[in-house]
Amino acid sequence: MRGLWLRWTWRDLRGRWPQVLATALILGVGIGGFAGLGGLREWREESADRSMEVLNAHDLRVDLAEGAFVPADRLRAVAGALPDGAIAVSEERLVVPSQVDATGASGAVLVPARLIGIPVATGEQPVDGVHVREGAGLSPGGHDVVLDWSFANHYGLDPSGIVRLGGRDVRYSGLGSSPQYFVILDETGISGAESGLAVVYAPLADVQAAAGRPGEVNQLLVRAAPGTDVAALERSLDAALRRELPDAGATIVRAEDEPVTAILYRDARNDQRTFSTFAVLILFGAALAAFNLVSRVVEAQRREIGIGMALGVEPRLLAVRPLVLGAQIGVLGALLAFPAGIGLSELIKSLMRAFLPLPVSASVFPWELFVGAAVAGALIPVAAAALPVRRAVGVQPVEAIRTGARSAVGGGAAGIMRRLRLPGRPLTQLPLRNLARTPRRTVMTVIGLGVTLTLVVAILGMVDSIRDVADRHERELLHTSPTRVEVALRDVVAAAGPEVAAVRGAPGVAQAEPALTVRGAVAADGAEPIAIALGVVDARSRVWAPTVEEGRATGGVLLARRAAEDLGVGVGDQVTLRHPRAEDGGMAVVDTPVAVAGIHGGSIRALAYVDREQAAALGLGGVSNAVAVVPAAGTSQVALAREVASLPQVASVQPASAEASAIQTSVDAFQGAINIVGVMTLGLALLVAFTSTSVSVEERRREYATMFAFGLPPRDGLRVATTESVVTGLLGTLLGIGLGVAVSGWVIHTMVADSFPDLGAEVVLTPATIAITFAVGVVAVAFAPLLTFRRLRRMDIPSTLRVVE
Amino acid sequence: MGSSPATAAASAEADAGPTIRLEGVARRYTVGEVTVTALEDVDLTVRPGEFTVILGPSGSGKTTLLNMIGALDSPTAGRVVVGGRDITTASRRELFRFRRETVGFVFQTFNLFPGLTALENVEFAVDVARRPGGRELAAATLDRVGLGDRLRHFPHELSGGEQQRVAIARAVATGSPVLLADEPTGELDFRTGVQILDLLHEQSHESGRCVLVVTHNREISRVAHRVIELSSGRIVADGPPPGGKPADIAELHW
Repeated sequence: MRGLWLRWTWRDLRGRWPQVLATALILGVGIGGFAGLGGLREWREESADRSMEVLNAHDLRVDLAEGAFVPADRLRAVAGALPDGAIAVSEERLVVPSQVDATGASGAVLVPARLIGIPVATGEQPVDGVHVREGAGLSPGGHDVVLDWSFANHYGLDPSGIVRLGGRDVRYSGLGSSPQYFVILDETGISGAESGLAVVYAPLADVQAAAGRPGEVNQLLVRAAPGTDVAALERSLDAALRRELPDAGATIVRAEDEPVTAILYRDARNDQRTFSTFAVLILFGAALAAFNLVSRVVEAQRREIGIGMALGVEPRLLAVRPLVLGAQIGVLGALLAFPAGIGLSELIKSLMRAFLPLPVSASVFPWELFVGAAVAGALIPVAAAALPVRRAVGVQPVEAIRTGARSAVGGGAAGIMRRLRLPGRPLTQLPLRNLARTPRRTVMTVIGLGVTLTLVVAILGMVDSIRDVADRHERELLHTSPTRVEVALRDVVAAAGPEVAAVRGAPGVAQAEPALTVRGAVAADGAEPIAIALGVVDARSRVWAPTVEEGRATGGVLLARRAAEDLGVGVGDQVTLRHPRAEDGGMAVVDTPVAVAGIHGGSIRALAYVDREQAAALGLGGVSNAVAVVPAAGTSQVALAREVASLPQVASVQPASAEASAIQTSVDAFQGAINIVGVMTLGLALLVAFTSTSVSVEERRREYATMFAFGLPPRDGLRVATTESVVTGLLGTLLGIGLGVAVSGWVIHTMVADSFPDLGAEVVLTPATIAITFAVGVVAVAFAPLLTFRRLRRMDIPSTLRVVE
Repeated sequence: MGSSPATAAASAEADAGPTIRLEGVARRYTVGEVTVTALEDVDLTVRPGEFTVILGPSGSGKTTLLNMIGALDSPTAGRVVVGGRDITTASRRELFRFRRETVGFVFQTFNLFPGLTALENVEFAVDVARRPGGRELAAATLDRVGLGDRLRHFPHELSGGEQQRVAIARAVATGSPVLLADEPTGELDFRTGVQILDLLHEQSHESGRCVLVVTHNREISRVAHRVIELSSGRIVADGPPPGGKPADIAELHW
């Protein structure tokens, strides 16, 4: 008997191998996608941990106030005097702003730079080492610099070459990064800012010379001794610095509070939430599809189950064939899950490695996740096979065996369809009637397709929404003067002073307006304060002023809509602005109550503006640390930048659009990973559509045979199948779009809002996204029956009509 | 000489095969708002060794009656007792055992397993019935029905008559004392039909099986020991065949 069952199940497999393989592939993609996406956080955190370790990342970073410097070794001496040997090693650096001109074959590249002076005499890197990804690093006695890898990668620069740094030609020998700059942030804390900031690592002595600060430093990096309480060390060091260097304005940042650290680990956590959401959807969609397909295949064996019951075969024996089929699909699916999941995971990791220049990529394989998902996933088709068997043995054998006229059960919503007067001939109505006759199957197929399309819409919707932020930000920045450049000055100067006048008088300048941007915060009762970049603008400026969506530009502060929402305030409400103010020869940070004058049209939460009158009331009147410049006709931005950059008080010059490109860069980097998931999901949707159609044709082959026996051309039979697919696809697509918008909204308002609170993203679905969804859900699904056309055309009509045998 | 007549009769019955008794059997189906009565108040007793033909037009309830006896369906009212066992109140397990051990069914549409060869189809039933010598017995039975050279053919490689013979072989090989055949010649030509009928007839003669054949073909009823006629779910006639005694199969013509 055992031999008979084995032969029988083997023949079952041979006869249905395309459906078995396709269903197993669906399941494998689902399980693999789930496990592959589910283990990314562990990999990123482990990679970040080990990268920090390999490069001796600092535990504490001491920065002196802007403009403050101390002689070399002074900071180390203060740190070294701390009792108990809490510090393992420390290193002093000089960090100054500059400008890089890397214009070349790739185009105009003229961006602000941050010059990091590092001691290279010993050739060792005791703290925050520079990981050289391409080329060569800093060497004792050498004068070559190392460019930030992210910056160079963004602009496609060679691993070595010549750049103009602060107006002088400098040779760079390699491309690298260090822990503090694994992620390049702009002033508002948004990552992906490498297009607008070039970090340059250079020998300390060279930076001191270039900055006009021979023998001076302004930063100390500290590694604590093992077992040290870093918080206590921070307090001790802070007290020592205040005592020994009271005028230096030193601030200390712990490694765990570094924005980069926060982004690395927070992004890993939040991205994982996003990926896990997608992973669950992929698995759910695939599992549902596999469940439905296996159930339908086994349901087709219902008659044979009935025959077996009529012969007195016990139900547990009757279940053998279907369960073996389910097990075959489950095992094959579980096996396919590994290459699918590993492939997906490795593709995403390789993309992430491209924009996260971590020196170490951990070899972490989430075995438990894979095995757990594979085991659970493998049980799905077994359960799917068990249910129809249970249904079949639960009825009288005569019901299960029924065929021919007796099997023509109206079923489902067929009764409703009978009462509805549909237009057209019976052949035209047939697809709708077929779908109505089997509502459970129709609903399951629609849901299976809908869930996979939900993922497509959610992914594309997320990218659309973030791109919308970048687009809106760019429109806001460039709406009056798209060719505008922003000139950053080295210090805060008088707006009517010679420095601004020099910029205004430079060749190629058509218009120039002084501007001021300071760091601050805005708070309201009961709400978390929001860090802002507060800009002072002329509301009537012909160069640039923010658009006002609500209220007005004068008489208070202009907030972004997201900021107002998060603070729970509206136009006319009071908020507290925290901002710097010049007092007694120094700068002090003060809190000033201000009214919300209006809501600006920009999408970045952290940007707020006051007009000049309000600025004067805040103690910020008449000063400037930047100049907004419009080039004269015929003068390019690059030519203007070169002219202005040579002025002594100018720190950097960059196009106004550079700010928006930071967001664009982040999106470009993330989109690659999302595209991979998107392609896989599209493939899954197509696979589900094809297999479902194939099973449908198999289920209805007697009906098709009858139609062909009456002379209906196979192409008309194909038309029936195609129409059914179109209707199913349309319903699934509508479901997918609806759910996709909901999921996309949830991702945007929770995870993206948590990771990038300043983005102010809203849910946006572009026409292209809708079109792609329809293209897959309706058009591609409609074509699925074509793949079975050959089988339909070659059908042996008499054999098919002879009731199975 | 100590046994009573009743005990002797029961013992004889046990030796010869079970008696089939239907008491007030009814079967009604509800389709939407309509209740269809397939059988109504059927009282019937069939003794072992009888070759009984159940006759009636399409929709008269003959197949439903056979399904009741074969425990493929259950009555809405009444009792079905086979070999002293009330299968109406039997548990599911008991019903499965009943179908394995007591009843062999020959379906109008053959109902062979398409994935098994002729030999395997019969072997399957023999194994299910737990009879010894599965493969050999299957081969011998198929040989008896004239398919000794078609053992390894799949159903779709056999003609309609050959498939029906496989179905008969499957029912016979189990050794079940009751053989139920639903329109066994319905799909076949005259000559093949006669051959099938002969095989069935043989079972009641040689093995003393209780054979019930459902048909709409009045000509077939001529070879029966007993003819039960159904109309609209009720027995309208029950008695010997036309002529008072079974005719020879060779005399049949339709």
